[in-house]
Amino acid sequence: MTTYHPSMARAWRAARVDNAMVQSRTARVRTRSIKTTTKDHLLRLALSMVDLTTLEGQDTPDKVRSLVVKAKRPFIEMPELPSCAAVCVYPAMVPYAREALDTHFQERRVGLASVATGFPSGQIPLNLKVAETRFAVEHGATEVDMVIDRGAFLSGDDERVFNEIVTIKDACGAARLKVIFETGELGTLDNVAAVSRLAIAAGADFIKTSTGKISPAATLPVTLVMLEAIREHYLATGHMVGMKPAGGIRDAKLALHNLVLVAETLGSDWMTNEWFRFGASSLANDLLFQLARRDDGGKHYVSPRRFSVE
Amino acid sequence: MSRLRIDKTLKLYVNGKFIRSESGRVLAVPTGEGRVVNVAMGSKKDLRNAVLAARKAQGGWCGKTAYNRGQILYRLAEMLDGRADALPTTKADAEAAVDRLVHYAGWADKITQVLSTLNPVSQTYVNYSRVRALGVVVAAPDPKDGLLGMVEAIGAATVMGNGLILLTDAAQGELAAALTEALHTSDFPSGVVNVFFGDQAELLGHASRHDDVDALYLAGAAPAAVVKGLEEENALVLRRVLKVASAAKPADPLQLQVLSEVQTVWMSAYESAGGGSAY
Repeated sequence: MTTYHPSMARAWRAARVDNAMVQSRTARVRTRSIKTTTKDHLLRLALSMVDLTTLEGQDTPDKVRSLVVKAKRPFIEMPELPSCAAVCVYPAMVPYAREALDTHFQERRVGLASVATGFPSGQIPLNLKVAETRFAVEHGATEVDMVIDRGAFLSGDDERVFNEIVTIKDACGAARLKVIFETGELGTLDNVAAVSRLAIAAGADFIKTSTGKISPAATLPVTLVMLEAIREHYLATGHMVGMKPAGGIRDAKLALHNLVLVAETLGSDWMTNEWFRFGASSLANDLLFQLARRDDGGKHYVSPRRFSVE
Repeated sequence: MSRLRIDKTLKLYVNGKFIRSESGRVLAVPTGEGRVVNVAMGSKKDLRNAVLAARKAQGGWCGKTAYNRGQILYRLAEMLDGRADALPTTKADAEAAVDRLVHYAGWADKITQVLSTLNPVSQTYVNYSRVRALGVVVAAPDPKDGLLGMVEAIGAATVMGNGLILLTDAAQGELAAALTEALHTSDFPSGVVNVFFGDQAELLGHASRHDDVDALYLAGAAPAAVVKGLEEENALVLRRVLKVASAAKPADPLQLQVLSEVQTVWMSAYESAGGGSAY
């Protein structure tokens, strides 16, 4: 287990982001045109990177089951398409998702991510956060998406944020830990850079922008700053950390632009669903809409009504 | 002193916004007096975006009360009447167009009663059929029908609760643009009526290959080759086609029915109202 030292926090908080440069780089990415076979390849790759998500108060076991089937085989008319990377649900839905994942299309491997630690606010006591994480993992979650205590981070209590991540990482066991920052509440890109360094130092396997409950969420500038933190860490230690933008990525175009950013910042090693994910629900259908059109030589636009809602 | 010439750029009207074509295609159309209008030519991708917008807006539009839809159609008549003198068309055409909108405004809360029925069935059920909106309609009015042709398509499609994409000929750009400006100041929710300029036959081809388009509205005599191509595509997704000879007369109720879906409801005669299921 990693231990905290105040000098570490000083190094994290020393992060300074050049806002003008970030804006200019992301603006350039938005104008990138991706066509033909490259587009085809990237659309499939993006689909395989989706953490198909349902995080609603109205979630039911049946809704989760249909989400699982969708994640395993996104579009029944095109069985050759890849599966999504994982489904992402609330802890209470984990047992149902596990059962469905083990029942349908067993030859297709799809992960099971559970949010934890009092998602989305993170405002519950640490022992409950640990218990929630253990519950999810014991019931078959292979990935845990925790939220940090933004209140603690914004009030400068880095030690508490750090120790919580370390504790939850320990509770995860073999499950991979994604740490959600909720960048929409952090205010500045400097804060995003600082918390990225903090979470990576504490042992996060993935860093994730947002819960999807707050807007703005996964904007390109925020994603770029986080990718740069991953790059910095990799160059210093040779240790890879994954990235998951989540929230607000609804169309294929924005997803492809995110991939451009990854390829340019981190390189092709990260261009797999082991190291990059999209937290999304409606994105999958827009990717399918594009893929289905290209499947018949670009002749027809299909009706979105042909895709399942979940 | 001579004034600087103002060459107008005519923009597509999609989702309540005036936009240039994503394709960047522009056609310079001379309009006499040395003036030129630059007409944005709609592309396949513009059409795709318009279908998305129309689909999204259509639910809200058909969810409004029929009475309210009538009010909004009437408001469009008011907006068009207010600028009738400035419209680049004949006085007779402008007046006929305004009158046609008032005609459809009147139909809005009456057409359902005409087309819906209480069906005789030999069991203890109440069985009725009612018309519902079809969805997204793409219309190509006959350029010969002028403003009246465009307004006729708008009235027929929207009075039945549909979203509409109106494909007008680039040569009629100024007239169609004047119509979009009236539409923009009427109370039509964004995305319900979208207006394109361009090559009608080309755009119709794109529309017929978009599976999310529920019906085509064709006015006048389209070339046989174009129609055959459309029909083959339409057959693949059971898309409706409403053909009208000209806009001289408003569509009759049976023509309007083509732009709607009939929903038949069975209800047990013994149960209280509110039960039953829809097929």
